[in-house]
Amino acid sequence: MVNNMTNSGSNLKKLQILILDDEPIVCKRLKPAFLKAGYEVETFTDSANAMARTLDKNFDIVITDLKMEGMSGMEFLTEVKKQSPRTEIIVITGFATLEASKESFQKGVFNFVAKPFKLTDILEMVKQLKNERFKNVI
Amino acid sequence: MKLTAGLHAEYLSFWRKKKPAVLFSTLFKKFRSILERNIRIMELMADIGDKLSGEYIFDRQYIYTITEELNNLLRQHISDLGDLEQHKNTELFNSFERIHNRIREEISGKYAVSEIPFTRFPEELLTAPNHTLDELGNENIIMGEIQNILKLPVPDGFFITTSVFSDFMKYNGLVPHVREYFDRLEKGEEKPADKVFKDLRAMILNGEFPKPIVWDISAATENINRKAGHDLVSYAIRGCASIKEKGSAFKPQCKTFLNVPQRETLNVYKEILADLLCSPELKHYPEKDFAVSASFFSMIDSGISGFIRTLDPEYPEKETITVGATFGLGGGLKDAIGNLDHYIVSRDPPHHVLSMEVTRKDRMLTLRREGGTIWMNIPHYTCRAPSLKPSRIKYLAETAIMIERYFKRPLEIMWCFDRKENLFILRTNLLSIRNSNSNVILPVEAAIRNAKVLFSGKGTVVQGGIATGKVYVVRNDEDLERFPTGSILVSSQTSPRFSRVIRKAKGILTGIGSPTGHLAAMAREFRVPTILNCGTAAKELKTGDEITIDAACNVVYCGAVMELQRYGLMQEDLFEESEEYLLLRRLLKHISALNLIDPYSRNFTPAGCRTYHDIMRYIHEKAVQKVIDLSKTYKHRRHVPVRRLETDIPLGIFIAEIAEEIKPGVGSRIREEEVNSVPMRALLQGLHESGMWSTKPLSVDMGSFMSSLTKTFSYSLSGPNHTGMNLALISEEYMNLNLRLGYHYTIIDAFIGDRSEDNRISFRFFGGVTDFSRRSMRVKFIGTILERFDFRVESHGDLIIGRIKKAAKSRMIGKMKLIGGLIGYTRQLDVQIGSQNSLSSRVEDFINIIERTMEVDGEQHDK
Repeated sequence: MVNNMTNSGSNLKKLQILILDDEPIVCKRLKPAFLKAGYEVETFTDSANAMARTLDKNFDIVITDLKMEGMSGMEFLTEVKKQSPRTEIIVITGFATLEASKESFQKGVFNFVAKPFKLTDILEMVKQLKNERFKNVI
Repeated sequence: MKLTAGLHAEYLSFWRKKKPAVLFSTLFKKFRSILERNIRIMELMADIGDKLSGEYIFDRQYIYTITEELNNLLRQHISDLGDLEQHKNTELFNSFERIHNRIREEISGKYAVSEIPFTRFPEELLTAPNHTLDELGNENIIMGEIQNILKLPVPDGFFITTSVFSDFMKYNGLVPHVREYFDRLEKGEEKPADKVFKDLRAMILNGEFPKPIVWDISAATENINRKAGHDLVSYAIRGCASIKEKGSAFKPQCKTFLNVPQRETLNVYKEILADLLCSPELKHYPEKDFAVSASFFSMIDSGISGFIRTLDPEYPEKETITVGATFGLGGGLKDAIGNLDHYIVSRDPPHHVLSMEVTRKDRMLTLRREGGTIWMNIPHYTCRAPSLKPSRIKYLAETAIMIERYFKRPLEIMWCFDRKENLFILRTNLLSIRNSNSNVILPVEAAIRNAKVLFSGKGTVVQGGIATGKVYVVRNDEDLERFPTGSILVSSQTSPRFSRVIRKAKGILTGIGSPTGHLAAMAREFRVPTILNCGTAAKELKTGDEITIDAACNVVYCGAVMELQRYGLMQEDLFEESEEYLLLRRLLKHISALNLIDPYSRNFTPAGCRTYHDIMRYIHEKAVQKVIDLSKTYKHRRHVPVRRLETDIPLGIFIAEIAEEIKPGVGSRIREEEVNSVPMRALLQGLHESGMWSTKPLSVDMGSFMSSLTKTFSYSLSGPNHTGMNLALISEEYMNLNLRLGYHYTIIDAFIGDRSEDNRISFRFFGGVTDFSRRSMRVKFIGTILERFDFRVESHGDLIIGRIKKAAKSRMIGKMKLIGGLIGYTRQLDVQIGSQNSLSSRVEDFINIIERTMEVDGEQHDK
């Protein structure tokens, strides 16, 4: 399923992105946009499943909601950072409070985005991350 | 707040002598909250519109949050009006509750009136609430949209909803029998399936319809007879079975019964049910998840029939359309294999025929007088003739691509030409394309990487989607008349006139334009990928240039990126089909639509409010009237809180002072030099010193004027002008001015004091006579000026908002002078501006003049 080769046969890996949001519409809209932009994307609407997946695979970027049933986004991102400190995290939330933002940044997230947001903005954010932090991926 | 703190106890004992006295300042506070809240409500309504563009990622939480905020604002609004008018607005509150309940029903999906009617006419689908998909099935909904939105010819007819199916089953006690037969199949009875179902089939065919169903269907057929002008209408009846299970691979096949006389319609419907229910595959689905609807279309006596596939399902990369056609009725297509002409046509306009295969057609299916169909031999001198002329092939291809563009999916469309050569769309199905998902990603990604970006992130997306085609630059009406179907409309500005060609356009790009204006609404309605406000980037494009618009990502590529277009057609989940999008659209009908237009009309009442916008409009009108009434009440009193401003410029402003102390003995007028409000004085200085106010009358061309009058009435025209009064609430540091000058409506809310932290100016400007493009130019003009002077600028349609805060007093005074100049200058600006060039020169002229005016106490302005 995962394609690690470009058409030209280069060994450069694609940027690996995990998206977690319990509202399916967010995953349904973000996934094709990131795929089209050339990234490898996996989406989850359940934090437990997403957590299980991160145990198997290290993602370059995790985009996560905060308020979810079961394991919250904050707990999830804390765990992800613990397992893989190099993973960059972008929080997307409809409950963008100052406290949540402060806590997220303290835990080392790259950015904190209030929903609704522009599709182009998050694509741009990921592009910026890729250029700054993941130069060995395509 | 400082301006209201410590007010003296000034009682309005003379206002309503027998009622408890009310603090005058309290009433003004209510009035001010209404004005402030109006602005917030307008912002929220514009925000919901923005979210439909496809440019934003939003979720249900957004919908809950924004509707909840609107509910609260409206509740407070009604309460404040009650306080201001000193009586309870029970009727208005009832209207609010009615609308609120409908919004709640839409959000929860649980409708108070949940009974599904037995029949629906396609035109009803525009207004019916959201259970239409469940009650009609996807195939029938598509036909409704083709007729209602795309305005393409569909035979007259009606739909039978799923409630006919469920009531028929219950009335005849069939539900347990169906389960029993499925159980027998499940247990692996040795009998073949058709034997097992024999009895069930007989039960269905012998079933009877409840009387109300018979009456409803009879009324619907009478309606169709009336339209046809005779009672000999016969029908093409087709069942539409739906299984609720998401992603169910099983698609029950329904056959179409042709030329069914009215007396036979219910029997045919029973045959459809019998065919569907006696299907072994159904055993996997619980009865509750299975439903049947049907379409009853009046029979067209077609001369030619066929199908058209908008993309080759096996080889989508070939970018071709396939047309199959034969003489006679479409029902003959299945049996006409081998007798069918085939045409391969280019997807690109003008849709050249790439290849054709004309076969010998010996017979054709025709209508039988007593009902049903009959095969007729085709005379030998015509049987080898092609069934379609090139002009008809082109027309079919254009129509099919228009339908595909709307549904954003490759389609198979059944069509026919009647004996008078009129085209009818008979049925439309989504086409399954090979490799529709994973395999398209890799080529699209490479294609995007290699494609040359013309511009990116330049404009405002008002409708997402992908469009590939040739640019056609529209400069005037003549260009518009010649607009070629399938082109991409490019223009320096938007115009309501573009709606004439919107069905022909593959995409739209404009230099300037309002994201909530008429064109944006049309683009969303027809789902035409559209980016407005691309600035000079759009100017670089020339007629004939081939480009690709990716409106979702706000990028325009050079050349045709076909991989991207195919990718767009093969997406699994469409935003426009998402529950959230559909819900937001339905909510807007209860929120933003404006029905209360004329305050002097009979329905301008609390009970006449059908949307939140109506309620807001009503409250604003009543609140302004109340304040004016108050001013009259006080006219001959010793204390006159509302006074006319005496000034050389005919502004018609009345001043209401919210002072800490209402001074005794003041007259009914106030001179400019007596105005003690810092923001108000600065504003007046800006008007005077800039010399921007021109009293010279300017001619308005009648066409523009009429276009303004006939456009959908917006809130922007609902100002205090109806009562001829511009009102300013002022204190030493504060000003709230509602100003109507000509057809512009300005609201300024400003606080300028010694502490920078407290200072703020909010400037809102909307309305204006003349055509839409000039109004857009005006928005651009004001936006450019405000941005040049550090305001944060937002625009929503005709509304432009500029905000600045936390600057030093002297700088804020300079900004107020700027606004004074702007008010004078823009009074008739949109009448004066003709083109983009004159706009730029006017911006420079204005800045040159205002720079001198803005100097305060020797300080330079901070441009």
